[in-house]
Amino acid sequence: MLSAGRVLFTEQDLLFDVRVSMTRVCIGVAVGSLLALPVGFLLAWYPTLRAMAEPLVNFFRALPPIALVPLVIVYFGIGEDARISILVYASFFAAVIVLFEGISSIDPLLVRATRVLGANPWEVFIRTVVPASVPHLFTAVRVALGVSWATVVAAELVAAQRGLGAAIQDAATFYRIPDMYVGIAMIGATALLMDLVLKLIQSRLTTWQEKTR
Amino acid sequence: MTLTAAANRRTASDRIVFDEIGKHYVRAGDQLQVLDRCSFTVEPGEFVSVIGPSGCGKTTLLNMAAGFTAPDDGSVRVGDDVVTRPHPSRGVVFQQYAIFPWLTVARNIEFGLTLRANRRPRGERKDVVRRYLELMGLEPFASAYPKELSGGMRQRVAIARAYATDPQVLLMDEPFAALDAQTRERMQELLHETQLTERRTVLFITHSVEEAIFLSNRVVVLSARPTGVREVVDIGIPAPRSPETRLSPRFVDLRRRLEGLLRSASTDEAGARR
Repeated sequence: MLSAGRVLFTEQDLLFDVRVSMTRVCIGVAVGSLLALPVGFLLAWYPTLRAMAEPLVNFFRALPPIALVPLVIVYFGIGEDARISILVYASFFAAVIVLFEGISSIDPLLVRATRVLGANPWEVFIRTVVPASVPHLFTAVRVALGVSWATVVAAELVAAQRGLGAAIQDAATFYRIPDMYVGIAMIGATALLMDLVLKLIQSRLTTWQEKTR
Repeated sequence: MTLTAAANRRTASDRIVFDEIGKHYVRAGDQLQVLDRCSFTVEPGEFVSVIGPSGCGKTTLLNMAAGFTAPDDGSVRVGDDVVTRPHPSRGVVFQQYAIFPWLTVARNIEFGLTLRANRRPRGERKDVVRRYLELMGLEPFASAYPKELSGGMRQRVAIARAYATDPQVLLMDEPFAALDAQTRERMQELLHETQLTERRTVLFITHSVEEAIFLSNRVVVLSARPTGVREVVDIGIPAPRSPETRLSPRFVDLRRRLEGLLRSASTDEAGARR
């Protein structure tokens, strides 16, 4: 397996596949989370909106993104757009649910304290709700990242020339079992690495947070 | 001197008037009267504590003064204004501190002064922050985050933050209830000293008779539900008060009397329930 790995990295350029998959995941998670952010705030802020939107969100969240691949191919073809849009979809629904749960769990006493000090609604939002939401944003991105990795590999298995999923599919076609294992191991390793990087940024940005252990 | 200026500045606009307050809840079709024609006044520069049987609506009264809750009957006035919503001229200190965990101690104290409603220039803000850091003994923690502080220290931050915006009146809702006994006494002394120099109109909610006597000019004893004012007791122990004050005959007498009043208020309630 080690020799298979060496051959893969040198001759078949496995790192390029890693990079392709990683780029797809990053774009998908970034766009999906950015879209989820305002929606999360709105749903957490307006209970009626939330009551209306929650079943809808849960409906779409329950659909496995991979089930949408054929549909997406019909609309977007089999290009990069198709794969990214599935990742955006997956990230959005994973992130939005974490965000609005998190944001609505913000201590109402902090909001009250802010108002009592003279804050107008905009200041309550920008000075209290936003900073209190930062930890939840990180959690949302990490969840989105997990879902996106699962989705990207599955999507690449079905329809892609490069990427880790495609590499595994390729190996399977020629019955190169060790190569398949290397590919699978790379998926885990890359996802782990991205999560670690994110955790590091989070602990830098939220030093104020109390660790409950 | 600024301190005397602050003391002289206290005028009738700092008076808190509870005028015939009534509040009821509807539960399972029954109307439950919580507060009934409850009236008392906190004079400018005066420190008044409110005690009463648990569940009698002490905190509801404070929430009305703060503008979080509206009374069903009567009104709360601060100065000439009828209270309808929260306003920076009425500072609140909460039992659970409610300081911002993502801000340092200094930034927490400064927070109110950076809002549009009462924004001050940077230099002035720094002065105010320095002053209250010193007054509350928080200088070593100026750049610490709340998570590094003990409960007592957190509550000092909350008190400093409430004072910093220079409110007309301060409303404190059992601010020391979550602290251990020793810290609690130390905080009472600190608040007493602060009150001597700052001279604010303070409405203080507590369930501790001792705390009420030690801090207050007057103590309002509420009756059981439907809650009204049972008695207003003048403390009359001259300031400055010290830990020894707690052992003085006058203090002990007051304690006996107030605890008697509280006990009979609670038995009334038990009797009424039967």
